[in-house]
Amino acid sequence: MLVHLLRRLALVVFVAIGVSTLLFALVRLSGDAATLLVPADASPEVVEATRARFGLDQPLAVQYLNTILANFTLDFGQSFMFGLPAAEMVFARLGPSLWIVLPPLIISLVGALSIGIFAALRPTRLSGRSLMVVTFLFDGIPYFWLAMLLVLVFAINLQWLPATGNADFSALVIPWIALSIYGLATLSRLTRGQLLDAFTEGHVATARSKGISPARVLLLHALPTALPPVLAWLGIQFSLMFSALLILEPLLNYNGLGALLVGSVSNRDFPMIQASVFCLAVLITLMNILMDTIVRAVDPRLRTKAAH
Amino acid sequence: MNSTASTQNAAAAGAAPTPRSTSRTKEILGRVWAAPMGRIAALMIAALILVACCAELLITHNPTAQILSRTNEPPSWLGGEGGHLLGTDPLGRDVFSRILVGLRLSLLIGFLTATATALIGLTLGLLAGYYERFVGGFLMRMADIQFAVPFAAVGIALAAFAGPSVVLLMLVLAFWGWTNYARTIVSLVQQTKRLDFVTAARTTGASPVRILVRHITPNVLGPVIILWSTSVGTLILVESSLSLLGLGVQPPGFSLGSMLADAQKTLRLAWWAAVFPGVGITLVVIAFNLLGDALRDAFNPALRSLTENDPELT
Repeated sequence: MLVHLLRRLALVVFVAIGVSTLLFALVRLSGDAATLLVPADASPEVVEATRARFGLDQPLAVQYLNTILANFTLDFGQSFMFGLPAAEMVFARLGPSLWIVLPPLIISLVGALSIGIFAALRPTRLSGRSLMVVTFLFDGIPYFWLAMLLVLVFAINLQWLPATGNADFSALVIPWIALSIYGLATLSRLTRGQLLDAFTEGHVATARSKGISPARVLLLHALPTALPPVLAWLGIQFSLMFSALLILEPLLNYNGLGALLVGSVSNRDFPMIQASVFCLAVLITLMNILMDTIVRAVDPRLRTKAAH
Repeated sequence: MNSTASTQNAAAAGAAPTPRSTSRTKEILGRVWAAPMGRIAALMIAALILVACCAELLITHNPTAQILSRTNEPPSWLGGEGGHLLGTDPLGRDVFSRILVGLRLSLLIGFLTATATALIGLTLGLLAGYYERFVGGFLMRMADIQFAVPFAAVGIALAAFAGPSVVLLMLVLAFWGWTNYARTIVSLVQQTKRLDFVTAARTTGASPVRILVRHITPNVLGPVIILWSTSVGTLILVESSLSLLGLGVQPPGFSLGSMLADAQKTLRLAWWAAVFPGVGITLVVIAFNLLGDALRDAFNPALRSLTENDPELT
């Protein structure tokens, strides 16, 4: 277990280097890095001074190593827009973004387990089938369009909720609903499929034939078999939801990491772009490692494999 | 779509003498058509393609003409004037006609990008599975990195540096999506290359390229086609979402996604201009998801029998 965890943590370092390389290449490919690192209206003297300060007059290999080292110490430079260290801005906006993403993630998991179990227990009955048809239809609805519809109905027509901004709690309701449905649709279909597969497995059939009550069979035998892929998908869903924030936050004028990144891109605030993409990638990787570790703890098959 | 269908045929034809494998393709297509889900999907997609191709015959107004006396006109069945079936947008353009024409670009983006991604993903997946240690190790680590970076972030950054361009976007999307394919087929390639018929081919002196193309590809094509089908919808979604940030299709061109983006700011004035293009996107995505599910069911008995008959595969 510990070896596994260490190996997975090495992946974080790996991802961090990879993302830094990607960003490094992107800046160098898009022209003179010094002009990107200063505001657009900077004088030639400032550009030259920046070139010297960031060592951009040095060989490319030296620049590359310096960039990687700087990124690892979370030193991305000052944001042009805010005049603050870029990393600080990212951490300030991380909270609001997690507030948008985490509740829907939990709602998705709990909801998907309930829907999935319900539908898997009635695979041929009308109730189970129609539930799956509904989730299938919801799976096709774009989350950003759903958010627009919710704004239309609840903010513009009924005026129950604010359309945009993050003034208070009520502004979170629309993104929460949109993201919950986004996560629920896929996850509940996956849960049902995995459970139906689990029901056909030998150990579940054995448990049933021994006369163990259906509820016990479900909770102690079928669910542990079905759960790992669902939890693994939850990690993927986390990254999908963070991607969705890049669209949803500007759409709803919510001040989170997504809006920060989009705003810094349109203002060509390069230190800010670098800081937010870097931190986002590390965060997503950490979340996936967390899910992976939980999956390992839950899945008896992986545990025995590790013991050998 | 044509190119995928023909690659599918060509590759399947390479698997074994031609008559057997064309019947295999037929068998799969027959199974898709026999399932209600598959039939609905096929009919929906055929209808969407037909509408997109013959849009000019079906439109009621010029989709780019701005009738400034008729901006934000509600749909005609809600009392709007001028016979606009789905109303007009804030620039006085007919929403219904724009949806029909916009569907064409959306579908084209979806098809082309999905096909390019599938080809790149298949190639890299084959290489990663065949040359397990170095190429495979390297590619899979790359996939791990890529997985951690949301595509939207890359798309946005790229558009900021290179300027928004839908062709560039499609190219990057095509190169970005390979990981899904590679992850899915890599283990299948690893299993297949250890089978007797591959060893036999190698003994007779077949080159790695020949083994990969003629002997391994036909065995991993199922998952590739399933992924391709669902990715068409996903890619249309990605284009739409980036359009909302102004990074998708640029005017005067328009897709369903860019219509949504245009209408987003005037939700209060003309909800129909945002709602109906979204219905269009949803229909397209549902149709391709259905097709993906139907294909999965159609391929699965075949895949299952493959693994069940051969102990080495399990």
